[in-house]
Amino acid sequence: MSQAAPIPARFYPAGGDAHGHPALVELAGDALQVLPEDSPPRQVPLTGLQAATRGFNHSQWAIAWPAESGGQHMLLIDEAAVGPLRAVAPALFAGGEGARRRSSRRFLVGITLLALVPLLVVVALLASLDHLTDRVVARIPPSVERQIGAAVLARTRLEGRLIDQGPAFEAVQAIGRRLARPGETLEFHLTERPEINAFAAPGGVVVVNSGLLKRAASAEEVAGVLAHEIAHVELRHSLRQIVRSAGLRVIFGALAGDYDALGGWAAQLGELKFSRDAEREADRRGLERLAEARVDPAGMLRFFETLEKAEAAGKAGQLPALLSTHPATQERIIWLREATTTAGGGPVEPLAIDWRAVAGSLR
Amino acid sequence: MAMDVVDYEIFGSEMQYVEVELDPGEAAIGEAGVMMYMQDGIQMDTIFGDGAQPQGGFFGKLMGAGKRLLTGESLFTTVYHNEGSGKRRVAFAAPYPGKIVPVDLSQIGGTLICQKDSFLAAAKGVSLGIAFQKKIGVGLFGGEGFIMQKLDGDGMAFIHAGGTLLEKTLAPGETLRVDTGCVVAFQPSVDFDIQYAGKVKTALFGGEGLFFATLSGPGKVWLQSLPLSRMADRIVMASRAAGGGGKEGGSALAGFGLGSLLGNDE
Ligand SMILES: [Zn+2]
Repeated sequence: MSQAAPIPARFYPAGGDAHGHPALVELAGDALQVLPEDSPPRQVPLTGLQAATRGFNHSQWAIAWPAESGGQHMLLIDEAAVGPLRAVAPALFAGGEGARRRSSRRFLVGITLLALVPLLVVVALLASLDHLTDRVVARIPPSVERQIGAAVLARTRLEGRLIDQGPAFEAVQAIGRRLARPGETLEFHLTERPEINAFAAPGGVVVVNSGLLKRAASAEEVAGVLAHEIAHVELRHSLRQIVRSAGLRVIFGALAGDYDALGGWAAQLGELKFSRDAEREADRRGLERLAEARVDPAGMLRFFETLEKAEAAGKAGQLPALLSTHPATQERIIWLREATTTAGGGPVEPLAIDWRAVAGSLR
Repeated sequence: MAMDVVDYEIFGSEMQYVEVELDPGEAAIGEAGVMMYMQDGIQMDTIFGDGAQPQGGFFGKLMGAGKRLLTGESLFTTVYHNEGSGKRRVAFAAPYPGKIVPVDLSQIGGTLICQKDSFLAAAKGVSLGIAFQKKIGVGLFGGEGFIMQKLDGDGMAFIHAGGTLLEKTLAPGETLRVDTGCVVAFQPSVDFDIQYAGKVKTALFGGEGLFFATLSGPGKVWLQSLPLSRMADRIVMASRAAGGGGKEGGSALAGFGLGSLLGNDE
């Protein structure tokens, strides 16, 4: 029958030089016939052999047997060529195969863990983000908060003119004075913008758009909105929002240097969710403040009803800002209606403001 | 299996270039950006993939391209083809001070594993592949990352070693401990591993890394005296001292990012 083709190998005789010698290997019954290119052939019984994988990714087989003179003779055979030998003497190769399998399993497990570690770190950071935000916010001194407030105000000035005199300005100041508690440092600004919106910046800065005043039917309605915004200031919501979104940006930035888009998107999503939780609390605190200041809480309710009507009428262009960050108006009105009725009618003093004149002063 | 036989000549001492002579119809491949000059009659052809599978089909080419993306190399390889009627020459220059090492793959068993950015040029028909280093420790701390380059075939390949070259044949069982980053290339029979240096103090104050690369025979290894990363670190340090800004050099910590997981740029 046809003999299998000889297997190319490199032969390293015991005590020989480092380079080894090209050789061919053949099977001859129960023995291995080694035919070095430049020395006499040798016969080695298969039973005396030991085989192990070695080299880059276990790509080579080292087959060794003891030399008469001490030391070991060794054959180096490529994995790609060793097939016929393995077919005849599988037991010789079993140990090496096992070692190869174990090592590639170790590699897979290790590489998976390596990929998971950054992911786990990110998940842990995200999970503790609220806690971290609290700790950072607690450490920010009022002076820094005021600086941030001033910066926000400066940006507002760029976007729309500040109205700093006239009946509308005076009305906002009067409502603010009525709502402020003794010792509170709050400043109220009126900006000339059409959107129905108001916002609170760190450092006690509350900004109202002229568009909101135009929509409101009474000073009490504006007071409701301002009370809500003051609650945001009190609870340091804007500051938390800033710290939190900065934290999100840092986390996503660290995860992968150039996932800016994803980071920004996730950071915005975080802001939105955060606000919805905070709004609920601001509504509650706002109502408390109105009661304390003896302002009719029905104004707040009425204003949101007005908003909802505008929303239903599809004047979306005019009211995105306040609504997008606030809980669904319907839901909110239901809650407010319940809260104002259960709180019961406390003593109320109307705000002495000529609202017709205020509305008339705004073009 | 017609591998092109390439005659070559290496010029220079510290900043070398290799001139490759092509018979009519013969070709050589070079990494993008290393060609120095070529004579009239040589056609440059940019091919998708690595030029090893001339009829490998679309999918084969795509695989080759994917592998090259992984190693951070350009998707295209340039083939220099002699369309003239006589012998023509094309030269490839080393990118930084060092030695160009000519390796005859037919003399070393047909396969060479090398650091991914040390390949310079080869006869067409030598295939360039990537080989994943499947030892986590070596990938992280061995200085070469997880991706090595594998050259297969029986033609001439030219690789580049930074600084001075050491070419050494290790006997079976003979082990050499090497600073990580100094390994340029080795035969696949060589065991490449890492060993903890054992002394944090040495690592912190001695300026050496926490790990050695260990190479054990049998087989041939090529070492460089000046890894590019080491030279780059010194230049960054010097420019920082001179008042310029610079980013951190490649520390062990930098190896933990996902990006560098797929290949520590050394
Ligand atoms: Zn709000």
